Amino acid sequence: MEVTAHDILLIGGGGAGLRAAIAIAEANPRLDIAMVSKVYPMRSHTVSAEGGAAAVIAPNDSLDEHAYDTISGSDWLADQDAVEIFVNTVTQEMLRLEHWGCPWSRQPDGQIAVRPFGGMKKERTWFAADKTGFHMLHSLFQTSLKYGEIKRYDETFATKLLVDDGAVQGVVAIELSSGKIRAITAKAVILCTGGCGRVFPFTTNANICTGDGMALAYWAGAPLKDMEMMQYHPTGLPQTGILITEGSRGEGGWLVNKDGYRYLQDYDLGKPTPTPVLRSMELGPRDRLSQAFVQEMEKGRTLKGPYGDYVHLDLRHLGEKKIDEKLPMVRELCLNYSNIDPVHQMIPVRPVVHYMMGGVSTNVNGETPLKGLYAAGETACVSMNGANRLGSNSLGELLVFGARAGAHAAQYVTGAPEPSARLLAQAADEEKRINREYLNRTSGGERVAVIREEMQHAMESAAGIYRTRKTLEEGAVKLAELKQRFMAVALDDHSRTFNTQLTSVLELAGMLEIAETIVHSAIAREESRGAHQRIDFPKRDDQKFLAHSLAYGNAQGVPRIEFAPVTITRWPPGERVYGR
Amino acid sequence: MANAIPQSKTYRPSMPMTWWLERWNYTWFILRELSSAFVAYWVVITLLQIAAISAGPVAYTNFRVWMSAPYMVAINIITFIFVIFHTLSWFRLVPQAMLPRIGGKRTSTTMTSAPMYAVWVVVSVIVGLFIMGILP
Amino acid sequence: MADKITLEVARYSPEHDGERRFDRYEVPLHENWMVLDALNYIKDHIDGSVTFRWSCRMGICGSCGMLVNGYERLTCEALLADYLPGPIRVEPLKNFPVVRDLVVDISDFMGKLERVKPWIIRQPGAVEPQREFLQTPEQLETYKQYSFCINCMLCYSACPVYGLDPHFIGPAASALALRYSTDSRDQGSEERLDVMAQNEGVWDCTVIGECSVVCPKHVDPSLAIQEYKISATKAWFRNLLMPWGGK
Repeated sequence: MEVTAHDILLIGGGGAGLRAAIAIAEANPRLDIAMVSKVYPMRSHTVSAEGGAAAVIAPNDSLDEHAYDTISGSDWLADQDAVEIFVNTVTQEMLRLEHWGCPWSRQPDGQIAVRPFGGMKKERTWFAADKTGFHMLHSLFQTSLKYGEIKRYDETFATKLLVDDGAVQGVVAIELSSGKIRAITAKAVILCTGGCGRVFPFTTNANICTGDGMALAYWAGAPLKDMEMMQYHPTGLPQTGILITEGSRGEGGWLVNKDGYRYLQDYDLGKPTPTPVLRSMELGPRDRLSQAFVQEMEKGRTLKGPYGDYVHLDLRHLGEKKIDEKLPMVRELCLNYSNIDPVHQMIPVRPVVHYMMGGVSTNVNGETPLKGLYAAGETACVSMNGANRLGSNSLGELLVFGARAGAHAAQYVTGAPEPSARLLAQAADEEKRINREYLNRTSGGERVAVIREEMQHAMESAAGIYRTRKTLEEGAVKLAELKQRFMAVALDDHSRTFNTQLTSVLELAGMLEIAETIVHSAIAREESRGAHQRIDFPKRDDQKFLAHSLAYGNAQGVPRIEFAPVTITRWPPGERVYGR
Repeated sequence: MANAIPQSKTYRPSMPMTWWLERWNYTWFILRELSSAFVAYWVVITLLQIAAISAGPVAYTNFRVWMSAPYMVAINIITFIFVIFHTLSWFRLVPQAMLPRIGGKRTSTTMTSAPMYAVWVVVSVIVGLFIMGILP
Repeated sequence: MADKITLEVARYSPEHDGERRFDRYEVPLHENWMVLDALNYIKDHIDGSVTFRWSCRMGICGSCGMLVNGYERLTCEALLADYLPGPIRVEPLKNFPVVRDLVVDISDFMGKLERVKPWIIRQPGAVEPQREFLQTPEQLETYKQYSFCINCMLCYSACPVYGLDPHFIGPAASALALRYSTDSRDQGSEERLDVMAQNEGVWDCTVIGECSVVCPKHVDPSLAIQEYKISATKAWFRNLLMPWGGK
């Protein structure tokens, strides 16, 4: 087996991973940095983010207002120390990205332009038309090419963290093009593998968003925090789940039911006005908007389509000029994937799984409880998003906490011991396991795609927008059954060359674990807060659950759930008020 | 940034000799390159014509007799078609090569092409009028 | 509308026969289904060994470029119904080594991208603003189109010059070089011009223009290359007339 050694290893090459890599290179140019990514970095899912990234820059705005919006948006589950660090640093991070060439949309005088976004009291969302994530990712990736010390392992899939003496010291990874299994050691590993939306059937997330880093950390013994907090975005295209950005509502789009009625006014989100009002109606938070859709559906006021119920997003009154200037990608996506021109027609939309607020538990420096292991971006849960992330806070988060994790890891490794020689035995075992369980097994009878689809549908029934103990427990039983059946999975493809069925099965193994942590964390949280709505416990319960859930791996296979208190600094829990 | 070089055996299909027949755009390109030969031929003929004129009326008459031979008429008709094609292909190329900007925004293809066609038509008309003897 | 359509998928595996062949698969024809959806149907339900790259399925990640009936397409944007009655022939992009089935090796491009220095270059001693660089919407407009490149490699596949001479810097890398050189924040256009004007740089381009035809994001790399030729020519004349360095 080929063994390579580095100082710091990044798993994942999206926004957080690239920002972390640059931060390390800047902190200490002598460090040997490596980046393992299962796709070329510019393919990472950051590329699909559309609407923008929030940072205080307008003269009438303030850091405290951004912090309050984020904390009330989170239904007070965010750690307020993390939120304060975030709002204090994000503007500087965004300016740095501007200096690296990100083509932000501008005001006529050349200053950064900002747009309104859901749950934000001020206009503070920077945007690059509606391809913000694309431009951020390519700016970061292209800037990272400047740093020769960043060694890349592109299209290399990490299967296991190497842990010795309680410290993470590298990974085992498969080089896709050759099928070679490598041991890559490092004194610190930073997980930046993004979200896990593909655990659900209907998601905005790309095919690669399978929560690999969460599974790696969980298997190595690190807890996953707040996994019950899965965000539904209110506006996805019905058949494909493709995201229609919140920016379209920020620019003035309306959500209407089958009668053409702006139904959000019935759900304590304010009164309809022709032009958008901040923190009101269509600019309410995502959890409340997605929940309003379900209630509207139960009243029979949504439209019926072949891909489920839907409502309309109406942009027609914005006019062709504004749509082409501010929302060109929305128009392109609607034309390509729904055969709808938003200039002349209303867009059918429905809530869609979008973002995992939970993830690998870290502190504000990106450190996990496991020595030598860091996490940042959607993989991680700092937590600054709590029970509901505000739109446009995630792109800022990956910059701020990507950079912090990188800088902190750079400090940590200067005193850390060299990776142990015992790791090689572990790596050899992992290679044998992959061969035995997947590549060399020819019989078993279970198909990867079948188990994956059953898992996804089980998750939608069990842990959708509204949950009860009954649906969740049924989901838990189904997941246990699927994990059993997974043991008999067999591949059609036994090739060593670019075996994408092998990566699918490895992803599925992780997703089954993640699904279980979601369901079991949701069972344990007997209250309703943000994205977690229990019909059997409809009220928020600050007495018992002003706390983060922590899911630990367990020998019995079912995760053990513990709770840890939320950090409150200046904003005691209160009522979430929108539109009044 | 260095990236790992894949080491497995890859397959590189070679370009077939007939690649330029696969698409209209490729064929157009090859014809454009080929038409240059006709443009060159046309220049040579024009030089011979000038030489004949300067050598006196007998030489020029011989030249005209040569030009009216059926095979020369045929060659010249083909040449004329290719020279027209060459002109059009370059007109088509200009908006692919430069699109001036007005206030940051690119001008449209039509705005770049239209003046060229206009000048071409005007010049052709003037030349035509000379040939027909309407202009002195 | 027919309810089924046949795909002929190019197969190649270095481990087995090493020969290229086409396998035929019949897939259901759903409304709004793309060629990529059909490939995923094959992989999930018929033959799990069919190998291709894909991720975002919304035309932005740049992974799923292939030849569909001989033309470069992002398969996530190629509507099945447009190819009725079929069969649809799906092949890997041209001009790249094929790793397996529909997967090509793009490491050559990754090297070229790095060579054109696709980042903001500032000269030593340049004054950095405390806040953002001011950049008017008009200044943004000058390079915006070139910044839309998703590195999908369709242009390299469509370029016969690259096919005949793999050393040619090629369309996407040129467009990205110009994207930075025309950005008002950048001061590195001369460094980049050195790369672009050398052997196997932009002068190899014979203006076939097919790169711009196949570009799914309307980047127009052909225009970028011609603009580079104009800049290179201007720089050459400037050096000729003012060899002492009138920059």
